[in-house]
Amino acid sequence: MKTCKKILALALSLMLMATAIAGCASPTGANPPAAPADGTSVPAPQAPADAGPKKETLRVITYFAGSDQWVPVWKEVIAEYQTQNPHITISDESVPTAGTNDVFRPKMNADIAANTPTDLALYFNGSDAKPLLDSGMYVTWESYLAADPAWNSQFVDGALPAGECEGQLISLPYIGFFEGLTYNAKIFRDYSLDPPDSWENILKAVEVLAKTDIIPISTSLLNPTVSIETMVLAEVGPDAQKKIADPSWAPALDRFKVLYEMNAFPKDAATLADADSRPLFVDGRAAMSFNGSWVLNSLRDNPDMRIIAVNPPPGSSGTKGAIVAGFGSGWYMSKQAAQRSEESLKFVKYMCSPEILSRFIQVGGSAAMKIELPPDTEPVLLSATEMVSAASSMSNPIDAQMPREAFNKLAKDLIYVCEGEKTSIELLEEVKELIASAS
Amino acid sequence: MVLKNKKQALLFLLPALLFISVFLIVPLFRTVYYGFTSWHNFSPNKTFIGLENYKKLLNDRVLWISIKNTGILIVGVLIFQIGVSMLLAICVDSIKHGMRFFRTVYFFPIVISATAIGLMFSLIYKYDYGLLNYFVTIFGGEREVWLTKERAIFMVLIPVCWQYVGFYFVVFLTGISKIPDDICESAALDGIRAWQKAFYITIPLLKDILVSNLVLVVSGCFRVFDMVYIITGGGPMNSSELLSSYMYRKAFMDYNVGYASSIAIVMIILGLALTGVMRTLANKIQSE
Repeated sequence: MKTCKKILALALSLMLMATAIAGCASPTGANPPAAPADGTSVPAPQAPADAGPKKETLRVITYFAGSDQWVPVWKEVIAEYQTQNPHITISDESVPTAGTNDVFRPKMNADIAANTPTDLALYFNGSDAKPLLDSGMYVTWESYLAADPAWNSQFVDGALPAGECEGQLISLPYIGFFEGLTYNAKIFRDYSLDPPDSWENILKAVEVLAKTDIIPISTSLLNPTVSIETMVLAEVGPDAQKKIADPSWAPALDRFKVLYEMNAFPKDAATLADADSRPLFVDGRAAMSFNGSWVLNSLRDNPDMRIIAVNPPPGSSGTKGAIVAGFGSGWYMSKQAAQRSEESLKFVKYMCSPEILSRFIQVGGSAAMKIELPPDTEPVLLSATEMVSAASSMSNPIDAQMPREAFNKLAKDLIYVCEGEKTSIELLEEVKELIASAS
Repeated sequence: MVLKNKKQALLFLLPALLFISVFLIVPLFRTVYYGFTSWHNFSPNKTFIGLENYKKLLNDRVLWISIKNTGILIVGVLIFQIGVSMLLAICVDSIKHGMRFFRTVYFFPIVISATAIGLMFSLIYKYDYGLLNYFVTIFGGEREVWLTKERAIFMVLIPVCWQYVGFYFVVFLTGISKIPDDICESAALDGIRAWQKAFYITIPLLKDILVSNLVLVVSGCFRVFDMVYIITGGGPMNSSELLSSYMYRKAFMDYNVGYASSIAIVMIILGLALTGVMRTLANKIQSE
C-alpha cells in the first residue's frame, strides 16, 4: 500500500512536470530542422512524388487585428485559402498595433528572443527590420524572386527597396501608406476659409475655429507620431529629414508650440490617445487632423473629407509636395518554415498576387504590386491618389529611421516644448543622446 | 508533521520549486545581470556596461517622478485603503442588520479586474464624454480636463483605493469578529461609548491584522501598473508615471531592456527596504 502511494505520488509529480514542459514545445508540432547559421535563402525539402498534400499548420502574424481596417478582408482571404487548400491550417496570431497600445512589436521581439518566430509575419520595415535580420531567423527574398521572374515583375518600381535592411531584402513590401493633412471641406466652406494648403491658411483656420465649438486640429499629444512626421518633413524637406534629430528640425517642433498656444488642439490633447483623437475628426467635430492612409477607410462615406500634403511654411527649407509615404510593412518568412516545406512560400505568393492585394487596397493604402482599382472611388481616396501622384518626393517616416526609444522620446516630450518646459533644441539633443546610446 | 518521510515531502515540493526557480529566481538573477548591460530591441547582443544604467538613473527626471508618485500612492493607500476599510469594518460591525449586504457591496470591486476598473475610470474622466463632465454640465458648470499634470496621479489613486478597500474591510471585519464578546460586554456594562470601544478595544486588539495589512498594502503599491497604463498612460508629461509603468515603457515600448532591468532592480530594492521597515515596525508594535 505504501509503495503504491509512493508510485502514485511520483507519477503525479512527473505528470505535472511533463505538462509544464509540454507548453515549451514547438507550436507547429514536429520539430523542424535547425536553420543554418549562414546563408539566408533556404531550399525547401521536396515531398515524395506519390504522397498527397501533407497536413500543415502555418503560424502567421500580422497587424490585421482588433479595429484594424483590413481585418474583414484578411479573415476572408485566409478562410478562402484554407478552403482551397484543405491540408493547410492558418494559425492566425495577429495582434493589434496602435499607438500606445502597440502589442505587435513586443510580441515579435519576444518571439525572436524566445527563438519561436512565426512561420510568416507581415511586420514593419525600416529600423524594425534590424532585430529580425540580426536574429538570423528569417530568409531574404532575392533568390525566391529570381526563381520566379513572373512574380517578380508584378511588383511596382521602387517598392522592393523598402524591404531592404543593410542591403538585404528581408521583407517583401506589401501594403504602402502615405501621410498628410486631412481636412473637412464642409467646415472650411461654412466658415469661409481657404483649404489648409499653406501654413498661413492653417493659422487662419486655427484662429477662426478656436473661437467656435469646432476643434481646429484633432491630434493626440500623448502620441503625435503622424503630426511630427509630416511637420518635420514639411519644415526641412526630404534631405534634411534623413539627418535624424538635426537642429534644423527645431522650427517644426516650435510650430506645435505656436498651434498649442492658439488652442488648435483638443483641450485634453496631453492625455488623449491617438485612437480617441481620430473620432473627433471623423465625426465632424474637428476641422483638420494629421492622418495616414490607414484612416481613410473611416472617411470614405463623407464626401467632404480630403487629404493633402503639408506644404512648407514660409522661411523653411521644405519642398512643396513632399510627402511621407512608402511601404512600411512587408512579409517575412522564417528559415524554419522555409526548410519545413514550400507551403509558407505558397501562401506568401497567394497574398502577394494582384487579385488578393487589390482587395486590401480597396479598403486603404497603396499597393506594392501592379493592380487595378475599381472606377467608383470615393472623393477622399481620389484626393489621396492626387496627393500621391503629385508628390515631389516620398520619404520614409522618421520613426522608421531612428531607434524606437529615441522616437518615443521625441513624440512623448513634444508636450514639454508646447508647455515651454523644454526648448525644441534641448529635446533634439536628448533624442540624439538616446540614438548614440542605442547604437 | 503530516509527511514523516522527508523524501516524500521533497518530492512534493520539487515541482513548485522547479516552477519558482524557472519563472522567478532565474529571471530575477538574469534581470540583475541585464541591469549592467546595454541591451536594445531584444537583440541577441548585449554589451556589459557596468554601472552606466544606474548612473543614468540618477539623472533621470522621470525616475524621480516615478519614485515620488509611488510614495504618494503608498501614503494614499495607507490612509484610504487601511483607514477607510478599518472605519467601515468598525461601523459595519456595530450594526445589527445588513452586515452581509455591506460585506458583499464593499468586497465587490475586488472581483472586477483592474483593467476593467481602469477602463471604467478612464471613461469617467474623459473630457469629451466623461461621466464627471456630464454631471458638471448638468449642474451648469464648464467641462474640465480632469487628468492634468497636477492631479493625474491623484485621479489614478481613487480607483486604486476603491478597488482594494473591500479586501482589507473583510480582513478587518473577520478580525473584529474574533474579539471575545466578554470584553465588549464588560465594557458595555461600564458604559463605554462607541468611539471609546473602537479606540480602546477594537483597534488595539486588531494590531496583528493591522500590521499584516500594512505590509500587504505597501508591497502591493509596487505592483500597481494597469490602472496607470490605462487611465493616463503615465502622462501628462510623465506626471502620473509609477516605477512599474516606467519600467514597462522602457522595456516594451522603448525596447531598452538593459535600462528597464535597472529600474526593476531599483523597484526590488525599494520594495524590500520598505517591507523591511514595515516588518521592523510590526515587530516593535507586536512586542509592546
